[in-house]
Amino acid sequence: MARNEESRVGVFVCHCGVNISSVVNIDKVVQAASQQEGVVVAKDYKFMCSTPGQEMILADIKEHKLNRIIVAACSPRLHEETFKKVLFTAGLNPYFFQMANIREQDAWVTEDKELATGKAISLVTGAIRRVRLHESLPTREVDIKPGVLVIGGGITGIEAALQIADAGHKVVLVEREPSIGGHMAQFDKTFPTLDCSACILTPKMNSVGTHPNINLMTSSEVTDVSGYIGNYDVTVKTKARFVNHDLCTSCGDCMEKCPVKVPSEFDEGLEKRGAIYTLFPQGVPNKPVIDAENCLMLIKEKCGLCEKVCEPGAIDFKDREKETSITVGSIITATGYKFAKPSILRDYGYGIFDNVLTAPEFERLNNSAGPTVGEILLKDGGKPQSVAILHCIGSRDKNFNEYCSKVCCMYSLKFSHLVKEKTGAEVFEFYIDIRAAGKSYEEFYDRIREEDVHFIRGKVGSVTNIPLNDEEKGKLVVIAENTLAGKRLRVPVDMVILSTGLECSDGVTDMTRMLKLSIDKDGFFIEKHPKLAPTETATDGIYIAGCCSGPKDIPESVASAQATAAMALKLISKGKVEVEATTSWINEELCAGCKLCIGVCPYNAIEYDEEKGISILNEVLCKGCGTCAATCPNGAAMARHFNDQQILNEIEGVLLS
Amino acid sequence: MPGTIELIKYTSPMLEIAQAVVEAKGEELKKCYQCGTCTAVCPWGNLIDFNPRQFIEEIRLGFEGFEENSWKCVNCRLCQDKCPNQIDIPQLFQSVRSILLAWQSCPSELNFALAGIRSQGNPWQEDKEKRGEWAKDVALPEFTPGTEYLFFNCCANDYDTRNQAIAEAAVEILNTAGLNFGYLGNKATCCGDMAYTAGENEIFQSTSAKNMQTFTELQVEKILTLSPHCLNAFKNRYEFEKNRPTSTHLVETYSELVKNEILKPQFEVNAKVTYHDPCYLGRYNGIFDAPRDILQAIPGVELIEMNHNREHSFCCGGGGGGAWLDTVKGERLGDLRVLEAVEASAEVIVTACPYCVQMLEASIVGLGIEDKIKVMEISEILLSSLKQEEK
Repeated sequence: MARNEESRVGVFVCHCGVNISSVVNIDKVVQAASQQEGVVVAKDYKFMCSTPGQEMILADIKEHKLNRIIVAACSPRLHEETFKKVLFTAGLNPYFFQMANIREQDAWVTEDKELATGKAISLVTGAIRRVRLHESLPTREVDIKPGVLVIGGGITGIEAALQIADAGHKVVLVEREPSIGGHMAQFDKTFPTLDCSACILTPKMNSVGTHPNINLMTSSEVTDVSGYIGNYDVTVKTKARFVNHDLCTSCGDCMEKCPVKVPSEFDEGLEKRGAIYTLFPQGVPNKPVIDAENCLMLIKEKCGLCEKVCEPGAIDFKDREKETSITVGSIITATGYKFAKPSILRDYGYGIFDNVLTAPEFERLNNSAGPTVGEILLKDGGKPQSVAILHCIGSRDKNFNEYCSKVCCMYSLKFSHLVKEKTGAEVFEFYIDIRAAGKSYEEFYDRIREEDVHFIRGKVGSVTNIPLNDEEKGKLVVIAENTLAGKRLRVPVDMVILSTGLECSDGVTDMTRMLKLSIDKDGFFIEKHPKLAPTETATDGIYIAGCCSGPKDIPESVASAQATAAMALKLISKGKVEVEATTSWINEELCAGCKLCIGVCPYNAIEYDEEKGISILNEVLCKGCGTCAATCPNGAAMARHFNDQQILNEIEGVLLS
Repeated sequence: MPGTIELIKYTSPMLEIAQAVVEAKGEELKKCYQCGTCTAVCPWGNLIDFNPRQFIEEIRLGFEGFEENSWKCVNCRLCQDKCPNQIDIPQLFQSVRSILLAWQSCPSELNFALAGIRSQGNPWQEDKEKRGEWAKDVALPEFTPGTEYLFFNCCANDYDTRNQAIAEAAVEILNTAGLNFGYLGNKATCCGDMAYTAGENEIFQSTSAKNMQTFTELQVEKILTLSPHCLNAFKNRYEFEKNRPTSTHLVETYSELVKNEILKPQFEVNAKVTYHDPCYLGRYNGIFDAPRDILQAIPGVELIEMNHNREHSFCCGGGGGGAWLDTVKGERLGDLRVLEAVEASAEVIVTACPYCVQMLEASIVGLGIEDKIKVMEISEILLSSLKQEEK
């Protein structure tokens, strides 16, 4: 439509059930709209977004030859796309449309009917004046590169990678530790079925290791991401391993000979490892790396024992950090969690008394491949006769993490069962509320109660080793209130397990910057929509799975991994993706080449053309934020769909009515 | 059919009570999820059946029985520091107390003290014209506009003969350091902390207004206090219209003067000393290191920590009006604190609060262990290292 063609505006006012109509006088809005210049038809309907509502708009476009449409309803974030499609179906350019938000910005924020109706009329009038200046914008598409990057090799990243690889597409899986497996590899049993963690995890790990479609990069971290949906350029830094994995036969001689002993991260410091080590015996890849900070050869150039015993000659002290560049269409972030270590641990004697353990430490103590070969033992080697398990340590606590870590109740119940099964000790669970909402979880709680575990409702105040009587001598005394009985308790036990919560992993800040994600007040990634887009983010083509968006148990993590795999596969199968047409543009004749716009563009979408001496905008990178248009002193940079005249007209409409 | 079974007793919620508490600055009531941490850490747990968690639940639903527990809390704030919901539990007690006061339901000893503040500006009903009498023979100038520091002594140190020794020691130290300071004498009135914690807002408002007016008239900019309670009132509770004067507890001043070698502790004090952290100095105002730094600077002092120290300090029982309540033998928090010091093999308990001094000394006398242990205020022990006692 040419600019001077007569505009024929249709205004459609939505009741949204009673959401809008209980506050806004719809009749008055319709009446006011129908009197505006250019308005051919103004109507209202109970649910404009419903099929009959959409059909009504469609019919009116045909009948009245409408060429501009206003819908006064909810936020454009909800239904702008719905109505743009109606215009598209009617053969109109979708940008000949404007929404007036009379719900979130009006009906929902006041009870004053008169003011609300007045504001609705203002917003609709502004929209009418604006829409008459709207221009036809072309839809644009970009190609999707078929590869997918998965960041994080815990169960979530493993699952996402396998789903995509099994569908026949290439995946790069980046893991910063020397092996994939994540926290799940540290556990012995999983709730509520008590099946062996390794038994269900290692087949998946092995599949990753051998999958022709998966490029597994361990000891590696993503250091830079640029580009946009369909075309992300990623830089991955791989630490020097000092072991040539192509030559290494995994014989293990080097690890036996290494004289260095440092605390093993995988065993939560309960066991030692050498400077040349594998993360754990079933690791994938199951080949050792040398830890440069502790290797005598690398620090002092003394030793070299591993090199001497390595028959294939795989040790390479000259190995250096490597950078790899890859291009992918989408990125799945599965960076997981870490167990919290709040300062409150000291109130419970952690780090002061023997036999006060955090949850991950107990997991290792209980693991058949752990430091005690799965026996639950005290520091002196004896078996505990009584164990206290303390819930909500650092979780549901405004001094530390306000949120519920969700999995601790269930893993604590699992701990109780394992202690009972392996030692027969008396077990006391100190809890505030037992949260067992999940398939078969309540039944598991039932089962543990029947196993004679003592449940005491009350958060523990402190743990002391100062006895008040003979019974307490040599014991850890747990002090709490049994809130159901209203009695203070002192419970002497041999072992205290602190059920610590989950926190976002280290390095999230870097990820936030590189992937342009946001984090919530608790440090977890924010979803595009908490209910309807829980694995998508505000950045197109970047997805979040597992605990990086909040605490999850294994089934939920796996489900979210599969959801993100579906997202990535959807992009690949479409091959192209439509991108926003409301970008900025630079009028080459007006541009003086001052470069101000280049400095302010948050998406690095503008470059300087030395030859022409002007700024050039890359429309694929541009998000249409308009910062360049606001900055440009010449008026050369302009934002499509948000040009000065359109905005001024809208303001005028709002103010005049 | 309703009314047919009348043998079973039910309690109906009286939500008006909760509403009244909420209106009396007790909104934090709503945040409690009944975990019982407060009850688990409350020092009373060692002696009596006093349950803050249950108290909160009772007032939330207006159940009978909360009244008698309302006066027990000593405001030590251990519960608040540990509470996962960061509930100001002492404030909840103050809110309930203010309601009970309106119902004229208040222990008689507290009534006496409150009446004293109202009529004489001190909780002992001593003559307000005799507040400054102790200072007659002490080198303590009157505060006039232009004097740098206001020395604010505390009612206990003005009137109690034992505590006057603390004030005298403090004045001597300040003179030794050459500070420009002055005293209000009879112009001062009680800081009102005790009225505040007893829930008597009206008295607190009037007594604080009086002091604020005096401070303004005399252009007071810097206040030095001997009592952590006065300190906390001036620092955190007084509602100054314009500029709030800076308030400092003397332990901080001493510690600074010792660090800068203006005060030089030189004479040996050969004793095993433990430091008792007053709740209002430690937990309320975060001052833990200054007193310990002073003690460590005194030659001969062997500093021993008790099991409950610093953030985990154990209350003497004197806060929240506790100093005025008659407590039967066997139910005194101060006794436990003194015994803890003895157990740590300390010979001297040093502290920095006039009420802690009184409570702990009373416990020592009550337990009959005067030969084993004694209490000194920090000014007293510091002075004995600055100057050789005349014998």
